[in-house]
Amino acid sequence: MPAALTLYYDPVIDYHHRRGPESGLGSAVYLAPQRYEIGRTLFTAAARKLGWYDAGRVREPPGNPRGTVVGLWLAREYDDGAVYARLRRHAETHHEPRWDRERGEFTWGYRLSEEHPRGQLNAASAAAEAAAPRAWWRIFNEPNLGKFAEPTLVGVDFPRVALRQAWWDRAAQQLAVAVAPLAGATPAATTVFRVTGLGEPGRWSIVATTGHQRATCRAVDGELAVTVPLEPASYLIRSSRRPS
Amino acid sequence: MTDHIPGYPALSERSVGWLRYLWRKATTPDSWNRDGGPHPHWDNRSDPPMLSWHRFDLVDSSYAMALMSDTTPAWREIYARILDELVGRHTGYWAAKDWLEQIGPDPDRERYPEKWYQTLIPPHLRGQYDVPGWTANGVAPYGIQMDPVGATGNLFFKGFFLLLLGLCRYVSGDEKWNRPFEIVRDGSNTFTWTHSGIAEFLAAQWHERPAGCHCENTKIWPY
Repeated sequence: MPAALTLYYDPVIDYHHRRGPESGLGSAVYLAPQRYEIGRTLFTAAARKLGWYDAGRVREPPGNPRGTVVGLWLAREYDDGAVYARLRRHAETHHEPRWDRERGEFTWGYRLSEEHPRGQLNAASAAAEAAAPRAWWRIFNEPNLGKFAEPTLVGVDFPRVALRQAWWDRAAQQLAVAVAPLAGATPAATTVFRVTGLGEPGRWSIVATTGHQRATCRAVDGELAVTVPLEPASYLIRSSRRPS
Repeated sequence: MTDHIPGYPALSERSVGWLRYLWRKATTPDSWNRDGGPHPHWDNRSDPPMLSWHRFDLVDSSYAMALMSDTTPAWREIYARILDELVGRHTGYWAAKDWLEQIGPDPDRERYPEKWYQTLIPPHLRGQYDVPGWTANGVAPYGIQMDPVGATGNLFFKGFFLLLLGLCRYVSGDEKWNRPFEIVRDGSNTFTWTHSGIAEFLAAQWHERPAGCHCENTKIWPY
């Protein structure tokens, strides 16, 4: 494990400005996609130096949780459950997660008492929230480029409606969709979106896996127009020619 | 708890909520041209002196967009629009404001906060050395270089910009930013680049410099 790291090198004066291993967290984010295990080494060294494997309070500079939120993201990327759980508990208490229910917006305030959510910190917290083991590495090493030729959902009435799930199951030849309308939406109301890339849209149907089966779909101009109620629910969009 | 189908990736409710916030943030009009100014919700306050620049909020905000897009790959239109907005702002004057305005040595070398001297400045050069974050455009041996991409240094502008461009292309599939576009757009300080052009330029710079490319004159970072 590194005891010290070069924060920056000045070639004009041939000078390495060195800091402790905790300074490697930022580099680990960018190394993870390129040299995964070196990134893990930097993350682990920082975690040990910062005491994230120990009992006791998570140390964090007042008003500056950047190291913690980046650590949270990396713990998820490297599937370090112990560190993730510890930093997550700390974040829940100290990073002021909050909802604007009218807008359906979620941000972190970090107890900074500022008018606008602090952008760079929220960005890292959001990455941690969306992270999964090796997910960041996969973007750069196993990019999902097939998605551009596969069924795609468009025309979603965002932000009134969002999709928590939108996954084309290549093996089962079905589209998994989970609809997340803004809280307070009227279930009697409906929303429409379209699915492109289905080939023969007239051969597709929609089945509710949760909620009530009030969803309908029809072929329109080579696409599938889907109408669903404005309520949290999930659906499978399937072809009548699915593989057996 | 919103319903979803087990066995398939799903965004958390918080991720959806943050997406709604970032959508509002990214689609709220503002001007990053010289005579404009970023909306106050873009972060230029975090971690001075190195990161207290609006462009880092643009780049950092792109990471969750790519991660979320991989969770819902069959629904990308919102992430694509947000990323396009982030890239568009990064082409403006204010994204390169530090490079364009921090000319020569820092006149405040002897008036930094004590913490900077203790953590960022070579101890033997106290009062004689530019703090990281001061770009020092124009100092020897580089001279004045107003193109923030074409400069010898300024990697922390063009390197992260290239990452942002790449994530935008990965999520959207749109080749828009691989057609010529202008950056800075300040009279004679208007420079034309493409996504591929920036990548090729950076690759050439890296080949020429085994020790790495520098960000501020004269500092090379391990990023």
